Amino acid sequence: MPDVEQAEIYGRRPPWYLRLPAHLLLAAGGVFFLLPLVWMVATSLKPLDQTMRYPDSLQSAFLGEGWKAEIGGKTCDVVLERRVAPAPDRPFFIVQPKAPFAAGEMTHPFGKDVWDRYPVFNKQELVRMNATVEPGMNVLADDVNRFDPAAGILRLQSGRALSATLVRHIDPVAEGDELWVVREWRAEDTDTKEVGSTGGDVTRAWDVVAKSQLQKTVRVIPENYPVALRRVHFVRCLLNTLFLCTLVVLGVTISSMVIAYGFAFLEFKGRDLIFGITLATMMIPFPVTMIPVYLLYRDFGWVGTFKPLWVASWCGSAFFIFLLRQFYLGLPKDLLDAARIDGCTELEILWLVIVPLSRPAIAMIALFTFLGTWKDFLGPLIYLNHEAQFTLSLSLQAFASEHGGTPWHLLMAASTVFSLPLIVLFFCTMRTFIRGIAMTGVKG
Amino acid sequence: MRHVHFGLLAIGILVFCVAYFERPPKLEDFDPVRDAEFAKTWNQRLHLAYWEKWGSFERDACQAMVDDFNRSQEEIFVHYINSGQVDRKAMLAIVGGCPPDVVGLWATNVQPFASGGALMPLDEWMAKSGLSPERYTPQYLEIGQWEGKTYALPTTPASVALFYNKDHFQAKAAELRAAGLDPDRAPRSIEELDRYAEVLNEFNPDGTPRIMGFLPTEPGWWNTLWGYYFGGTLYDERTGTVTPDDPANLRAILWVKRYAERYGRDKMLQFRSGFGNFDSPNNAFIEGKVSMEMQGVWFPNFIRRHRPHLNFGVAPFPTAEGVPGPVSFLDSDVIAIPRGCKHPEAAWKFIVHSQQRGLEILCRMQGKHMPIKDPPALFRQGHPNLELPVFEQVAASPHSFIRPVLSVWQEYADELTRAFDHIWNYPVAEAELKGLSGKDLDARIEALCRPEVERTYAEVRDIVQRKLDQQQLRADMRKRKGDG
Amino acid sequence: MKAELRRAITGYAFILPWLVALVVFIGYPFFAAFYFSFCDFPPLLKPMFIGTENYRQLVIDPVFRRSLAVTLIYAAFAIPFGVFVALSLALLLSARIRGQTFYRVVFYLPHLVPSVVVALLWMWIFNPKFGIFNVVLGLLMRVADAWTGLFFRLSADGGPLVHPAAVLLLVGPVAALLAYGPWLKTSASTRHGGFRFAAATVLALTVLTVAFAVLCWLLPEDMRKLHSPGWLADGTSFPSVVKFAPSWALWAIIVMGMWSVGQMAIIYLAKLQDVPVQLYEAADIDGASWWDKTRHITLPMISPVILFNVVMAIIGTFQVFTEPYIMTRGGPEDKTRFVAMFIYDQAFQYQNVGYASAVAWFLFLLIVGLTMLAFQISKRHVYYAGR
Repeated sequence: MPDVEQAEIYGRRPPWYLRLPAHLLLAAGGVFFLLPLVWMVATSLKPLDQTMRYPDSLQSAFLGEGWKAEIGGKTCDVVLERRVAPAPDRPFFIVQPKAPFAAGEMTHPFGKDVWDRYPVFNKQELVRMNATVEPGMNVLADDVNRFDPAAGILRLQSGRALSATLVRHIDPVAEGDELWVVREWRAEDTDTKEVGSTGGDVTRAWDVVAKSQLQKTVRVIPENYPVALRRVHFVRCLLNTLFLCTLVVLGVTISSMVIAYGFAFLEFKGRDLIFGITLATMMIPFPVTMIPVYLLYRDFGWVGTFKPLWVASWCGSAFFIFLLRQFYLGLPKDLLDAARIDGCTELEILWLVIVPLSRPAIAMIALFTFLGTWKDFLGPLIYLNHEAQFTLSLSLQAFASEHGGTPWHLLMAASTVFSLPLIVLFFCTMRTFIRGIAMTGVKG
Repeated sequence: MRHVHFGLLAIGILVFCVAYFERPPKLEDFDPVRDAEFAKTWNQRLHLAYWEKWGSFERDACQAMVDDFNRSQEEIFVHYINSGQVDRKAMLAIVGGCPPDVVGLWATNVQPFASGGALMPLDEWMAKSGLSPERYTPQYLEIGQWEGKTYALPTTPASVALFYNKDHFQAKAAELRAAGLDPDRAPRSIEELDRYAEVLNEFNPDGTPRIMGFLPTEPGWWNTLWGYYFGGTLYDERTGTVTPDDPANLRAILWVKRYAERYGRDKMLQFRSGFGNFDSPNNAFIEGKVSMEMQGVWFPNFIRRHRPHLNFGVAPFPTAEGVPGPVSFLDSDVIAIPRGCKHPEAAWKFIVHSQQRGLEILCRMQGKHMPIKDPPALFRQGHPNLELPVFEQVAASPHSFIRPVLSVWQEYADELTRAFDHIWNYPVAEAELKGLSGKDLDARIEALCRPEVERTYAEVRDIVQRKLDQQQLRADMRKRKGDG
Repeated sequence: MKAELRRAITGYAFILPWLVALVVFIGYPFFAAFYFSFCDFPPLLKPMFIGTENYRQLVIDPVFRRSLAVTLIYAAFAIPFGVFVALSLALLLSARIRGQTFYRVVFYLPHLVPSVVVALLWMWIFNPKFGIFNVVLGLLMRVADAWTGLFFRLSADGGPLVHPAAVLLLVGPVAALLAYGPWLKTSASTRHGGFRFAAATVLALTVLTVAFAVLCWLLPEDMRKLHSPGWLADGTSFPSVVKFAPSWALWAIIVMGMWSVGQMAIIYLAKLQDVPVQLYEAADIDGASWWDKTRHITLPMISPVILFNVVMAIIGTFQVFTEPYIMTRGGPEDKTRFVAMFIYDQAFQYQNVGYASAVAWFLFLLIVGLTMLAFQISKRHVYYAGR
């Protein structure tokens, strides 16, 4: 088979006015083919709230945005926690309490004794509610937690009142501007679902800032990757996937090698009939046998183990047997005859003569099987139960179908890591690949 | 000879790998955190697998319930296993002969699972453990029943109500008053809801909506059940027939269709596709794109997460004029023991806990009410859902309804969804509606669509009724043969 | 006699694993499915024989009819479309220009992304509001509107249907006549190559412009929708005048399928390079144009591969599962409920293994029929070298 790079079919190199449109078309197509992948990588570096947002510019379609603000003389990444709108009849203040209290008292109409008594809130929320507001920390006094500047008393939502000192008034801003409570953002926030995930974490720096004072920044979060990999139990899943891939690749190549040899070079009664049936089985669509095969494995007691996913591969695969047989038949027959005359057994001929000659075809089969096993999702979905057994593609899907919304940024990070080995493999073995792809399109 | 050695080594490694990975995974191997906490009694306990659907803060609630059970005794240890699409996975595992010990299903799964023999009946155990059926709100208990037996018990119940954005109401207070509506309360009938919605709508200069007062397809989870708010039902238990073409149901779908035509099908489609995930700050209601919406008891949790200062109110969802209310759709997550489970007795002990102290923990932490008639006195104190009374009220209403208890419900629901989409998309030429408004417009829309609505829903009735009859027939055949 | 027996033993020993697979993993399930198709069989109970009841139901079941129609419509549009795109791509990729290795890699890359990820990715791309597809499509449509608006009236307001500028459209046909007219056929074509190409381009542009205007007149609704389609959420068919046209949701899945056409293109590409160079050299001497060479040499030489791939694609159509399962769950209005999904739902959702088996078997027969039809039709058009 001639190499892709060498043979050029249409004889001459086309003139420039044909080359140009060809380049244009290919480039346009290339964009269509690459854009989704670029988006995948771009999304994997965004914060979650930026993944479902209407892009107002090309830059914001691919780069996550965030805000920076000056808090206490230091510029840092912030989250816009909420908008506040003080009015003359509802003035807002920043105050410092004189006694400590739990942060949750500002957001709930009951005190710490109540939430301590009953397990009501989830861990994260509880940590935030239990955080102590020390004297000297700034607190926002709004229309829920009211501050009486004359008396110097802060009335919390929980009903408790304590004395506090005024730090400053919050003045209403000009028409068209907005006031926002901003709080320091940290990279670990990418793990949580909430956008205002820092909301209420009193230990972080915060301030009330006019929107016109905020600066837009590009926010690229490589931390999405470790977070995503931890969530899918990456190492365990990778080991499982590699285990399956090894067994299946070995099984398919070895068995197809041997079986194809039988079909190609050994003559016995019924061979052609069986080969015909083999070809015909390729026409059976997968849904036909799906259910009985499942029931069969159940009767073997194999559901919930890896066996249904690899044992059958040691019995060969119709398509690869067919391919390999075609390849064998193209080999020079005299070598075989010579070996037979030398008194080699059939197995020896296979191992010493045929296999070395058909290395490219075998490599191709191995590659394609690897690809198929790595990507397979329906098989593991049906047969594996225990989280410790999950393969990568299955853990990815479980991650995506988590009830209550998909963490797109983490999903895309995991997907990128998942596709990366295949892309690297493709680059390393491009020649085998392209030759192999060519072979799969053989004459019917 | 060297490569023979290599070959042997390779085979050896392979065999080792197979042995290592094919070892049946034990539950206790994959829970290191809890292993440490329960180290003393870890090995003497019986380990059970509990599959649940929850992934986020609801998961914390389930885990808290499970932890509470694990601490309360020393014989059994339950592992909470979070599983996406738990119903499909559970069905496959039950068919495959390796089910979990306890499984948390959706309400819609109970009848199909039970009629296929996938769940164990719980009545005898209930009688032994003193869990009396009278304890429960009847509708919630019925969700888990099939042919007179209880197969699943409710864990966290749901009821729905009308959420409305008080800020939107206040911003349009003058216009609402001008239309003879009170901006300080929610609408009390569907006709009133339509009038509120009309006032609350806001459009961009190009005619596309910016805020919709109300959208019957948002969130779109109960599209098939609108008929109940017009006094209809989907199944007539007396005659054993399905009634999707009940006049009240047709009225409901025509009401929905009016929204599609008044504001434009395509515009609504574009508008809706601009909404983010339900559980995100871009949720239509949380973001303020929709002023009124039907939502469930869980919704305040999400508002608190994404926009804690949203000024919203909750009221029973209105019914059509003349239909007694309040009406709410009642749903529940359920807990059950799959057939083929290896330790049913131990699993039952866990279920008993999940129905007593566990139930309280679970419902509080998920911000829901309890599916029982008399919740413990302390249940309401410090409950994180401040709107709880409204949901308790609609859940206790005699007019509230559950899905028809049918083994073919899933097919039925699929057909209803298809019919709903079909009517929503049924083309009405714009020219036909030109120049009409108000009642005339509604009358014209109804006149144009009614024949198609009647045809579509009659077709649904025929398809589902045939399935129902056929399933009945086959079940009878099996009984006569003494199998199943 | 003994030698023959010995040969048979060796032979069967070699193919023994495959025999096991053939019997246990293929043959048994295949015939078991056949038996189940005559049974009522919830998977946890024993199968109960009920005769041809399942097949009778299959004939009258409108849900199944709908899902079969969806699958066939998809096949009828996606397969020819796919072959066309893959072939064009292969021809482009085989052109002798710089950077081909890079292009080939780019076009193959999508095949390496797992289908779950692909489905999730394209859900976002097809979002009518946020999705990048509608942004680009809207832009293209506005350009097309502006361009066609120079020559024709597209909006509904009064005035002449054709603007005076439409006279310019005559340039195309005239140029084509000059370039391809019979009087030039004999002269050496290479010198006029540039001119001929330009003429072809102008003609193509003219045809496209007129076609666009005509479509805007005939199908104003559809063309308006094309500016910003609802894709996966829209169950209405496009174009709306064709009764069996795919719905917008189905179009979305067809377009998405084009994304993984790289595999096919590479297959064709490899086969293109098997075509003996001498044939092209001979054609060059005869003064054949690029189109002549493509039509009379390239296509016939690779026709067996096309046939093979079409047959595989037909089989593949009946297995489409992951994409609709993740992206639409069969909606809107069942317009993307492919048969494979129907079977899965019947078996695992509704616990109706008997009926699912009947459908699966019906499918199998249909595939055999379609494949035979493909071979029959292609008999005249497929050229097998050496036969």
